[in-house]
Amino acid sequence: MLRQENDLIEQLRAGDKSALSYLYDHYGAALYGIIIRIVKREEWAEEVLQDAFLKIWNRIDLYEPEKGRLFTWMLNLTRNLAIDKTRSKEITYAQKTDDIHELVNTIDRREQTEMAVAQIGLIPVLNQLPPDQKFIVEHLYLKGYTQSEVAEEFGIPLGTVKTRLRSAMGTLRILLKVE
Amino acid sequence: MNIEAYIASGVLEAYVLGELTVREQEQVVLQVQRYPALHDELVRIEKTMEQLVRQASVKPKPHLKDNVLQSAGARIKVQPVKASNFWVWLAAASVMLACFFAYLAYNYHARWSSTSQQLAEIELRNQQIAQNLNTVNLELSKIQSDINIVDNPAFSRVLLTGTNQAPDSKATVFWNASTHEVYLRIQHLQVLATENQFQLWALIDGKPVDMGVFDVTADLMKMKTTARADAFAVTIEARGGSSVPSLHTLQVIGNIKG
Repeated sequence: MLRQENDLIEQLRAGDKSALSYLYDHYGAALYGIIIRIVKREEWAEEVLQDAFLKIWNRIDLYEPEKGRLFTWMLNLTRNLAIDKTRSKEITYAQKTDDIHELVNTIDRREQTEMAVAQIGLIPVLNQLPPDQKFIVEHLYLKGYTQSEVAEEFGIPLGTVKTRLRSAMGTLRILLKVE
Repeated sequence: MNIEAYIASGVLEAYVLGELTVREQEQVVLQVQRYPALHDELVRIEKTMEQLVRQASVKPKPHLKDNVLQSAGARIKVQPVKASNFWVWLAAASVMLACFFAYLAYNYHARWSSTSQQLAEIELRNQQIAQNLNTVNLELSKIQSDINIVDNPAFSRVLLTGTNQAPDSKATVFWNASTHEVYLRIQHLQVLATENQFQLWALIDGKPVDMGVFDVTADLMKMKTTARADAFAVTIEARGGSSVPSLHTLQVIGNIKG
């Protein structure tokens, strides 16, 4: 963080819009990267990003600094919104209409989007992890899975998921030069 | 606490990912506040995640920022509600409600038992009143039938007045010459020992005929019947009566007129 986090929070609480602008400039792309990986469609990702910043702005009083960093709070809030979006009726309905009316168009569009997501998905630092650890980190931190969801969906024991995550975090900490 | 083991359990990673329950989260917050080593580890995990997510950044379209800033115009204030406070309040409210209902239950039970007791008393009193009414009705019908006799012109009224031995004594005989019925009403007679009883006699051609024994009562008494009589008299006899009157105990006597 360039500014002191405490000052930023105080400005946000005071309703200072320049603080929101700063927040967007510094974290917008990071949050958007998570959203697009979860909802996989640009139009929905844009909606979620807007909802997320609106919620951060409106609920900043609910953020408790003693419970964690501001970014952690924003990221969890954003991730939950994105997951909600994938589960929302809008998407179920859209998928249904797609199936009936514009099957071909949609497949084209979706493939384009998913290709784009695959391209943006390349994160050099992750390639330095063993593939099984990279898989866990990607799914937990970037794709919005919970540890038990990864365990269930991919048939990996929960204990193994936790161990791999621990090891990966140790390696990443050094690679990302976290003090 | 073994801090190494706590960290190795992966609970801090799960905490950062928002995967813990509210209770588990509170536990982590407590431990992190207590042990600086845990706090440092937590911050490192958060920073590592932040750096990783930053590396995964995707730039949104430029116009989105304006949308965000515009829609964020009106600030909606959200009052923080502490979960723990909420549960404390809820628990307190529950206890108060429970107390209130217990009081109501007790109160209603007390009222119910006092009401059912009152009801039992009222039912009892009702029975007594019904009994009294019955008695009164019986007496009334008795008096009615007595009046029918007293008022009936077919009955001759014979006044029996006190003798020298009992000058205050007085009685009346009602005699129906056609039905032969005889009734006796006492106005005043002396009080007898329990072994004695009064006996009414009819004098027919100078001979006394037994008309029955009686004790003093205010009622009109039905006596034995007789087709004829010149006079009626009352003597004191041994309980159960005698075949011959003891004339020295003669209390009242009265002749039939005409």
